[in-house]
Amino acid sequence: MQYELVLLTFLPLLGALAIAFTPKGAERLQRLAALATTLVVAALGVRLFLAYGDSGSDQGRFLFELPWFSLPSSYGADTAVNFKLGLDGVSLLMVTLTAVLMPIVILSTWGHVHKRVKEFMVWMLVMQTGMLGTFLALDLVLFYFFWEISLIPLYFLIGIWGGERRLYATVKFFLYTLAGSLVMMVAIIWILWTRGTSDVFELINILCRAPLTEQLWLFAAFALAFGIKVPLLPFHTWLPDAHTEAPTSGSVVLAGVLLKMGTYGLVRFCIHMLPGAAVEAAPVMMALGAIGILYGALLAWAQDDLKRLIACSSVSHLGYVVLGLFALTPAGINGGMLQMVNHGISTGLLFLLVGMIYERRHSRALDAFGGVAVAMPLFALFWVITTLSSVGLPGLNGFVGEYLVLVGAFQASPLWAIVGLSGVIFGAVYMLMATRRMLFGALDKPENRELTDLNAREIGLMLPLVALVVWLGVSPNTFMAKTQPSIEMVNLRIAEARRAALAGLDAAPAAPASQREESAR
Amino acid sequence: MNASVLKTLFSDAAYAALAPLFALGIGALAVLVAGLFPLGKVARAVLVLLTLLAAAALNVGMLLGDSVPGLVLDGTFVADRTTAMWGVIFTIGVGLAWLFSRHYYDEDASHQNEHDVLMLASALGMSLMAGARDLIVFFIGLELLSIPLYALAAFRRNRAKSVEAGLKYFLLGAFAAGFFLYGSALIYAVSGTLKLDVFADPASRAKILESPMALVGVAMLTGSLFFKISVFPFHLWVPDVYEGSPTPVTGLMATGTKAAAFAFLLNALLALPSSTSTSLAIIALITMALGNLGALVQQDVKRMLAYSGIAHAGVVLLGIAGAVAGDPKQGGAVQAALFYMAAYVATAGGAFGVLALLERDGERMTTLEGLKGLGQRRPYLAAALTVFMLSLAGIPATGGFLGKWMVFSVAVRAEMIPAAVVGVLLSVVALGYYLRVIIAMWMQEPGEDSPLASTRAIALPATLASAACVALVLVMGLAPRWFLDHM
Amino acid sequence: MLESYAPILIYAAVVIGFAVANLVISDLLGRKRRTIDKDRPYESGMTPEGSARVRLSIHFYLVAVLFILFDVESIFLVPWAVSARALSEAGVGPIVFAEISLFVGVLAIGLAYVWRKGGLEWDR
Repeated sequence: MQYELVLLTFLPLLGALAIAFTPKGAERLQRLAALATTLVVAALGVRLFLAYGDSGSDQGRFLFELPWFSLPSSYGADTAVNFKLGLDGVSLLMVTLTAVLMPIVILSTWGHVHKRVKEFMVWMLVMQTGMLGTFLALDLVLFYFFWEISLIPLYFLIGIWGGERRLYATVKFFLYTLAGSLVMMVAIIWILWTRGTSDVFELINILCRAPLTEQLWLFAAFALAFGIKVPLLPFHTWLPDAHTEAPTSGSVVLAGVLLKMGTYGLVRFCIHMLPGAAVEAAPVMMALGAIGILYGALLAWAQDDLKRLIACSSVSHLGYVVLGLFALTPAGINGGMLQMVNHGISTGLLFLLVGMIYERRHSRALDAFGGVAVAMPLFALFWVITTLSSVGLPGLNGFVGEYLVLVGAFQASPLWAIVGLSGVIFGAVYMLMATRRMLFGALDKPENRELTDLNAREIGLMLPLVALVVWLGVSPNTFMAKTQPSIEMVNLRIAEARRAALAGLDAAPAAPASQREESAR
Repeated sequence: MNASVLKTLFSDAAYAALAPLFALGIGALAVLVAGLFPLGKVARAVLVLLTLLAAAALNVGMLLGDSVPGLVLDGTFVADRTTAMWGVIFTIGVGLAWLFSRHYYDEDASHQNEHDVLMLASALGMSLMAGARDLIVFFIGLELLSIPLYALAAFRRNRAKSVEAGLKYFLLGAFAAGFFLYGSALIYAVSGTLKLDVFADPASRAKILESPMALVGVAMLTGSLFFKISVFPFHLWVPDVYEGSPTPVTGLMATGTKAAAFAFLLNALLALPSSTSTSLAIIALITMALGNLGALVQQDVKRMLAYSGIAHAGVVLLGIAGAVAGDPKQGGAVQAALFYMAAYVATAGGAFGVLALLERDGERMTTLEGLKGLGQRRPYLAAALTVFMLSLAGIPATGGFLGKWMVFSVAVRAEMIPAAVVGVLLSVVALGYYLRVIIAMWMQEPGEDSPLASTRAIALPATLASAACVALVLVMGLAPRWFLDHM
Repeated sequence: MLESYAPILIYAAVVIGFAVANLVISDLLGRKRRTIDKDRPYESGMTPEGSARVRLSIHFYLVAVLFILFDVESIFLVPWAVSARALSEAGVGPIVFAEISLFVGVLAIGLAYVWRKGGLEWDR
């Protein structure tokens, strides 16, 4: 059924509309409706995941195309912009993660969202549509549509349900991200005008032959947008603020999925579509990634606020993803892709846990805790598992990704691999130190004695994620096998671009450019 | 003038071309006469509505019909699909302003009838401007638009601010008109004609533009048009006039006047030497910067929207600069400007309309302070205003986004990439103040001195108009195909 | 070519002559009785000295505007009258007549409006 993707993308929006028309006071109904919607979406997502790569299924199932409108181009006919959704190995894991994470997030709001529940649920569901659309869109204009739309829900989520400095954080988040994406918009306009198509797959075939200078300019524009979103080092300052001020569920979605839109864009567009420029820019990007790992780790080390600490660790962890991706080796890209999922799960869990303790203790300062493990043994158990997954203990998910990333990076540039490796050590240091200060030591603060342990809902919502942590750690191949064919295609492009760069040739002059000159006459 | 020319003046095509104008003119007179008799309020409203619908229907008919009248009246007026589309946009703009003006003057509704007549007359002027291919015909349209607006700006004559707005607008408008006439005279002195056709022929165009006198004339024409579209350095009147005028009238000024002046500017594009494109782009960027920075510090949303209107004019001007530089895609700039202004009419028209509704409930409702907590008090109104703000900011799924996209496309096509990049970054600044409105409505609780919640129900016409605006903005953003195909 | 302007010249001379002659003749023939008021410079019937911020009745302006309106009307009517014969020879006589009637009609509506609204009454 080819409408499966459309259904997956727009079901949350339908749910949001339905909730919008429920009466104001019916909070229970609204929560349950949101949960039900996301559960159905999750089921659909899992179904798609299982069916993907299954040789028996037809290809049309993962593609949906509908003519949308047309824009002027340098060609005789206008550029047809299509409403094209498609699933492939690059987007598969992200789509599944988005689908699976949302019901957990919704369930977590039982604990911390008590005002304006209806609006909250509406925005959450709208956000899911935006994120799924961004990952699934295979048309450049459509991608940009979803890319920007997904900003709005988080803007409201932080702005209405956030902490003390929420207005500052939300405006900073919005303006930062938008500045990057608008430059990308100019690049997209240029591509549409000169190439006469907005189909991502077609453009992947066309743009790899574009002259290197043009590729580099386009790369810069795209990388700026994605780099801010990831966030890559010099553009990371919005993230700690946004994370700290966001409500727990907002943080989980932000860390779990929204940041991955940036890394996904790096793979899909910067590397796959512009391989020549990617090869050329790889050293810079690797450097930014590696420095990000180290810098993020040091930042996290210095934090006293638990949530801010995890936010800074996000900067560090996403550094791995970028380091791995721009190693441009099969191991690096595989590791980067896997690390995207790992970070989503582990950091999501960490934010959930911080949220749970904040709901009880109303503080996130590390100094406020100590000996919590005595009062909340179950909480301590979950926290330790998650921490270990986050620092990359073998057998849990973090290890596989980090290992592959570092192997890949070492093949490409030993220097940055070593810098990245030092980040692993710092990562272990700050995470374990935070764990010690919070969970262990003397239970000397009276407030902490009163803490109640996790309830069934909280355990239940975390269990699936913990299961994934173990599953990904023990048998990552279940996931990587599905993405392999698509990543193979990316590797092929990189190899081509490398050969061209080695031969000292500028890539062959692109046919469309000459056509353009003709039509301009 | 010989007889054969006289005959063509009264051709069927000419009547077909002018039909929408006749509809508006006859309607305006009918409303005026109706005011002399003790007819009911409803009957007069129906008359206005019929007039606007007739004009819209005639324009849509021209838009969808197999053939268009084309150049008529000895080449001084053109009625093609573009003119028809502008006509539709103007009728929508005036219709919105009119709907929002219902009940706006409730405390002193004694001159509602004159108000409506003036609005219809201004619509007539706009349509004449959009189709004009002759400087004098354009001037008549300009005055037909401006004089009613001078009166409308001062319509709340008991308020000093309104009178001040009317006077300022009138004095500066008269100046601009003088510039226009002087410029026309200089061009006439060089070329011996007032028709824009002379610029269409490359040989005569080059010859005219060689003459410094004609260049001064073109500069004066451009200056007076810049006044109407509120572009640097002729933008200083905007905030005061927009703030002082009755809000529905402000909406009309922001949307209709600007659209009509842009329509003519696009018609007269060839009169601008291609060497001016760089200066036009710079003026556009300065305009955007001044508009956006000015808006950032405003506390009054109406005044903020005035500055934002300046910035938006800068955006369209950037597209025009691209077109002057030699956009290789013919008509791309016209299409972009049409789409942009159509979206802007729905968006800004709606935004001013919503402000008009809020203002009715007390003076201070249009400040950011007054908007605090509006999302809780009046969720639908706040939601509509949110959509308008997002569209003004150019966020996808709204018409404003696609309009921005198309206008910047024109600049990119003319290879003015640096200008386009600076332009988009300036629109990030713009987001700063659009977000403040949204923040006030949804994310802040009403303060101590915020006005009390109003219990007054919103009248039906205004409800319809806001709903129509929201629908139009969203349709143009999500399913723009019909608009793109007909522009 | 220039000769065709001769009637205008003569016309102008007659007009100026008439005005000047009137002034001169009345100065020569009239009785002179000097009063303070008469020796003041002529300022359209207003006292030339005193505060400039004198309030004038709005009616003056209303009348002036109305006067200009119908003044302009006659300016447009004259060219039509002059070329009426040529127009009917060109076969567009009736239609141009219809147009000029429309023009006058619009102004008539304006007059009716002003009348009905009481704009013609001096004291209201």
